[in-house]
Amino acid sequence: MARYLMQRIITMFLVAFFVVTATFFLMRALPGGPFSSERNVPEAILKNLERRYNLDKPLHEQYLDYVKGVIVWDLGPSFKYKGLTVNDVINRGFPISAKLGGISLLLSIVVGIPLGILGAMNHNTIGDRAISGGAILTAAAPSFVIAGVLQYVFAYKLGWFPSATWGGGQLRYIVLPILALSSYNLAWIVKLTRSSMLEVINQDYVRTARAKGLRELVIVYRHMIKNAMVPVVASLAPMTASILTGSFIVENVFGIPGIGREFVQSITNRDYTVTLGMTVFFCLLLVGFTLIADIVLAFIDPRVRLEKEG
Amino acid sequence: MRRFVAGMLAVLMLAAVGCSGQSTTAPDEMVIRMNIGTNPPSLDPRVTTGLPEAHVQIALWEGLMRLDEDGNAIPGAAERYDVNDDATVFTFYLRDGLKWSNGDPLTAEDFVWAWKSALDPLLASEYAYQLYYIKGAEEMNTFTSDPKWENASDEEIAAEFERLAENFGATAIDEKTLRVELEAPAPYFLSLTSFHTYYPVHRPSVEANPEAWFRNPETTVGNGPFKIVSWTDKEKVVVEKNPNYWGADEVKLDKIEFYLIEEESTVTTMFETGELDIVESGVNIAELDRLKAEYPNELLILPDLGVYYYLLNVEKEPLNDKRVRQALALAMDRNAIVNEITKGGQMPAYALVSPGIPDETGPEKDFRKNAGDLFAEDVAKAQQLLAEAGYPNGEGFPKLTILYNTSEAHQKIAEAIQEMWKNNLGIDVELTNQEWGVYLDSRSSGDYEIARAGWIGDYIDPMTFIDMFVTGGGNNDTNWGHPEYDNLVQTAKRSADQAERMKAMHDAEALLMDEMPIIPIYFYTRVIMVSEDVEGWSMPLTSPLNLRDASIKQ
Repeated sequence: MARYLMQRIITMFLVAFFVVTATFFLMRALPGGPFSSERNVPEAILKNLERRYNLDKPLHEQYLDYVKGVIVWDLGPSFKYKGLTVNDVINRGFPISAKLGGISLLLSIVVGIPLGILGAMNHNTIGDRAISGGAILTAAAPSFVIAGVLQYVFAYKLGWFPSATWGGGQLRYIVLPILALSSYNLAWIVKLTRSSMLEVINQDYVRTARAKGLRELVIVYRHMIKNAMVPVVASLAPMTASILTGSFIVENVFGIPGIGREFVQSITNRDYTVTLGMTVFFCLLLVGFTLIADIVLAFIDPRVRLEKEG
Repeated sequence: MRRFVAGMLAVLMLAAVGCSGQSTTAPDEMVIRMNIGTNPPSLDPRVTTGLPEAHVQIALWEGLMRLDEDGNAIPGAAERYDVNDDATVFTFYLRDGLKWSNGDPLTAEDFVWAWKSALDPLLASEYAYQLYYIKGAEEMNTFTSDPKWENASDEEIAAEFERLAENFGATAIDEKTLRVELEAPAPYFLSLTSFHTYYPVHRPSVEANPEAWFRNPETTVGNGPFKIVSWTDKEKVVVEKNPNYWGADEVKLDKIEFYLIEEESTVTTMFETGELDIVESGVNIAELDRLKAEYPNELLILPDLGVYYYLLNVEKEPLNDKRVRQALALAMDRNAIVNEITKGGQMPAYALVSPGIPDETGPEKDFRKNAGDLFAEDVAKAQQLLAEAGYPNGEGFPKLTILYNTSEAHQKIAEAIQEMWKNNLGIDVELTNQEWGVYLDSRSSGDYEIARAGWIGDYIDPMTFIDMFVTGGGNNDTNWGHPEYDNLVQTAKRSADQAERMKAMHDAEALLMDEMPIIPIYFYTRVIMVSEDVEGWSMPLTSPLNLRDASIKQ
């Protein structure tokens, strides 16, 4: 187990290293730079700026400096936001995105899994069709549509909630963004749970359990759910990583100062350090959660072993 | 189960509604909530270049002069000024007892230090060139571009900067007197001193944290009508009345909340629900027709000092032929573009310089009106010009491409023009869009044939448009150049005589519109929404929205 973990962690850092390297050179290959604008900066001032941000050094030196920084988790200054480092950007925005994402994910799981089970247990009834139909519709609706509808109905028409802003994370400010953000994942979890439940429902061991005369609730709870959860748990890892790092659309529509927007905007701004920092951060989160999911899977799925037998 | 979910959502929502109602401001406070769009990259007035942050800065700082509601320079921190005959030496006399927002005394030396530090190559301010009017300023800022400084240490550069700064044109004669010597006559220098690059900054606070003093309310010390309370990145900036401001008696507002929301539909909804009093940035253009109908008194269309135009790369065939360029310009229907597409009250442009710039030498007192339209749309003439250039009815005309940065608005305009040229001239053009950074790169490297462009003037003088197109100018991406044009610009720049300056600039503009390396399309407007309860605000041309004298109708 320990050896397996070590291997995985080393791989994780290797992946992060390759991602940093690839992103660094890809970003630099893009035309335009952090100081280009329709109002061209005079050549001499551009030189001052490049000097200040060490962009006048040869590219390989900049790359080495950057990698050295990443190792001690110093992700460098933002070019666009003066006086802010990428670490500041992450430290400020991530807790907000994580709170929003965490609650949304929890909501999706708590509501989505029971709904999916309910659908599967009542396979092909009206209730089941309503659940899967609703899930497909929700998953198909782009989140800006859902966000816009929520905003229109509950903020503009009914006036129950503020239209936007984070409001320091107060409940009345975050209800609408949470609903908007959870919609897609909720629908996805419902569909996944339902289909994997349907897969196990006719398996031999379930029939054996039934034949033994176990109560239906026990069969569902003890035998079916555990197996049906395998694909759900596996898909939760990337879902968690992506939802915690924020959603560009939901954050934009509700004016939430999370980090979801940073990533997209930094590319437009050619804010090299922010793009790189976000990439590294997201990559570590993704690989980390995949690792956690693998470990959890080993516990719930007897077919998965973390290391070779023997 | 569905009932359960619905029930749960309802409970959650009711619980949240139950928490609402608590207000963050006391009921008797006079607060204005205004959306300014994007998160300021910085609040340091020496380095910022954008309008969003300027709205905040005009609340926090004040220059020697400030602008009244019509854009005239009136005394700000300076009580009065003298100027010599050829407008090259200004002397400003500060008001008595000026104080910073923290109570420290504000002196003439503070202005000198702020301007000097803005020119420091190590600060690398993108707007340092706004100060180049002052004698010695340009060299102080740009000596580093000489290759011999390439590998110099920061200390060496700082030492050379200090040496050059000994000849800096701005000097404090005493605590209250500031003498400014200019490189060349600049009658508009007076208005420039109301611009944010010319604001004073509080030296001890800046030096205590040079990189990020403006991110901490403690060290964000200003001299304006308001002082900072908080800045929550990407959400809002809050300022409150500054009791140490010399004109504090005239300031009626207790607080301003500047919202930093980008999404237009959200901003418009917030105005409609009463969560915002002013939308300076973010009126939803897609809903303009509805907003005009529902908010006839709140929706305002103000002129802007800017022009939307197409660049022609005169090195590419057949755009090297003046007649082709003219034909393209004449074969457009600009009224259709502003009425059917942009819809924001924009004015069709038949010249480069936008309206609103004073020109006392003509009957209309306005540079644009004095010159009038410099060309007229005329399809027959356009066809004739094209035929003369060797492309009768567009036959044999190579397929040109219009380049624009990816945006629905630019695309619609380009599509309309594509069709107009097809119908009027019988020529086919292609459209191509590029991501912002790529587009800028293509433009400045001349890798385009026809490109969309926009320009917002820096200061209220025709020169802010005219000097863009001098041969090899930093913003002249057309590859066009004309010695006569350059001479006219030089004449206007060297002269302090308004009649001579204006004449040179009128001639230059006429020459440009005859040569047509650019095709003007429309003059920009600013579309904003202001609640009817807000009084006393002002927003002269090019300026940020000033709430110094604003109040809310009770």
